[in-house]
Amino acid sequence: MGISSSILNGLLMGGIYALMALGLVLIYGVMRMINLALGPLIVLAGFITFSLSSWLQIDPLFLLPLLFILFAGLGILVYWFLLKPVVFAPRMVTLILLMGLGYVIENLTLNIWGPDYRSIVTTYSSKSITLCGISISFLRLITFLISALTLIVIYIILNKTKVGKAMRACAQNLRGAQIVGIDLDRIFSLTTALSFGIYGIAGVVISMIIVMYPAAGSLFTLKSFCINVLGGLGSVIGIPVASIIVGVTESISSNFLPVILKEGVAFLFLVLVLLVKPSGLFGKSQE
Amino acid sequence: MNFFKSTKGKFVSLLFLLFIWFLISQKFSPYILGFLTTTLMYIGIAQAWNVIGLTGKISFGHAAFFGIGSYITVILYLRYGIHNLLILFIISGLVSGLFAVIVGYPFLRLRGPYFAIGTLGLANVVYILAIAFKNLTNGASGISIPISSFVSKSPLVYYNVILGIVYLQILLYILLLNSKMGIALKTIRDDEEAALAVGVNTTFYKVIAFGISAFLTGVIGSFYALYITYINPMTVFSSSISLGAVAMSIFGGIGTVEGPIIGGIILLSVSEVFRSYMTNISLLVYGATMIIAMLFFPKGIIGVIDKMRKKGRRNHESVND
Repeated sequence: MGISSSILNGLLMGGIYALMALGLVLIYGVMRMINLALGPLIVLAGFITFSLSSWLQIDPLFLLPLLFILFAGLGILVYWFLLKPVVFAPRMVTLILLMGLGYVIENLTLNIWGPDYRSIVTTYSSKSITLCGISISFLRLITFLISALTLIVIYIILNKTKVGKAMRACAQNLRGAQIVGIDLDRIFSLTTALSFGIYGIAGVVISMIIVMYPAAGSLFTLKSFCINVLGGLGSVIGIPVASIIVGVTESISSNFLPVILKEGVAFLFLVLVLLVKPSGLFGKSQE
Repeated sequence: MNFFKSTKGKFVSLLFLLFIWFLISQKFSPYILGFLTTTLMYIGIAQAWNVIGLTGKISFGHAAFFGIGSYITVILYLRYGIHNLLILFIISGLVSGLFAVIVGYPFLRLRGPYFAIGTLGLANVVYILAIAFKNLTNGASGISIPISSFVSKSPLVYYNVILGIVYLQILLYILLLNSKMGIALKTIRDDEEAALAVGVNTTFYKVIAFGISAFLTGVIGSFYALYITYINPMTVFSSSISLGAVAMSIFGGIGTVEGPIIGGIILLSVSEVFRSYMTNISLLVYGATMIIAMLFFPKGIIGVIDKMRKKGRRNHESVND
């Protein structure tokens, strides 16, 4: 792969990483929880997509709304049954709880679908288009566009709607939000639903371009966390920038390193950021 | 009664209990010995995890140290022909511990959640490196120790060795809890800034505790390699090792001597009973334990017992009044 083509591929991958990382920042920003269950959730969504699209014989892209609703519903259940009792507990409590939830989901996925690798093949899987002399995969472009669109919709929800403004209020000052009469349970459950819905979409998108297996979750979790830290934990603006940095670096590094080592790139960034500037590229608060 | 509460008393009673257990267990069937060996290995890992757990830091990456211990043992055994158990254990542990000290220095300055996820990443990276450096580790296909001197020994020998290791670990933990270092670690857990303010060298103690924790985990890893005689990156860096240590310590109670023992026995028994129903059931048990413990008893079983005891004492006192 030429350098320009790997940069472009990395850019497209970055879009998908941004989608994964966005679900994390929502819950972290509003509820101060780090959702370590996100990887297994994405894998679960991927496997559901795989089964449904082969069972119903439809294109996985049509499953996007269904997966979003399904996972948003799951998010509401998770909030009321698991997160509500520990909303104001120390951060480590929710961290461990969500880590546990992740492994429960991973194990259920493993037991329902088995340990095999799965990938979704569509009619346009092998097509590619040429852009400015660089050939790029049609599928990657589509998944990038879906991710970008989802990101834009989320930004609009956060900035223009009443619910979004309430979410941002909670992120800025929880007590203040409570005082002005924001129903925290409602906002928290909606935030969880929205962020789980994003995982549903991310699952569809990722299962179309990456080979999925039940244990893949922890890598997704780790990457989205690294991206969040690089961008500045809690910063919505930092995510797309950090995702593209990670995506492009991975793509370039796989040109001259063993392919498996590229999975460590995000972690390298995490270590560097934590050593040099723990607040990340766009973060304000010192952690 | 005071005798049994003192460090010396705990030592003596533990020694006695162990001797009785040692005598009883010599007659167990190979199946039970195998189960007990696994249980003891996990108790050992959980107890080792508990050393850094005493500072309140949650490590999700102890599989890294376990795996390094296993690989060092296999490499020493095959390439350098070192067949002495004690030397293998100590060198593997030392390499693991040294690695932990090097990575611990930057990592341990991080706040709780960052440290937790940093260690999770560490385990992943070591796993990836083990796959990538094929000429040292033979990549994903793993390496095996030729079946000669160790495997011919009976399950009982392995069982007695691991029993000895875990026993020493527990003694070490009791000593640690009552030492100056133990007090420093507990102070760090309760309030790191206050500890720093009263002149505790927090970084030093945390790094040393992390090193000890990794050393002990590495020794268990080394034992594992000699016991199973075949290792690959998937098994020795498996998340069920990291998770097991966390779940067992949390279930029993972080920072207690009894916690990992109780947690290890109960969680592994549950996994063993339901093993035939699901693949990799232990992950489900660990995950569910973490959820349930955080929702209902964040201080573990020991925390629940302490609370009940305190309540009982209070009731007793009020009756006397």
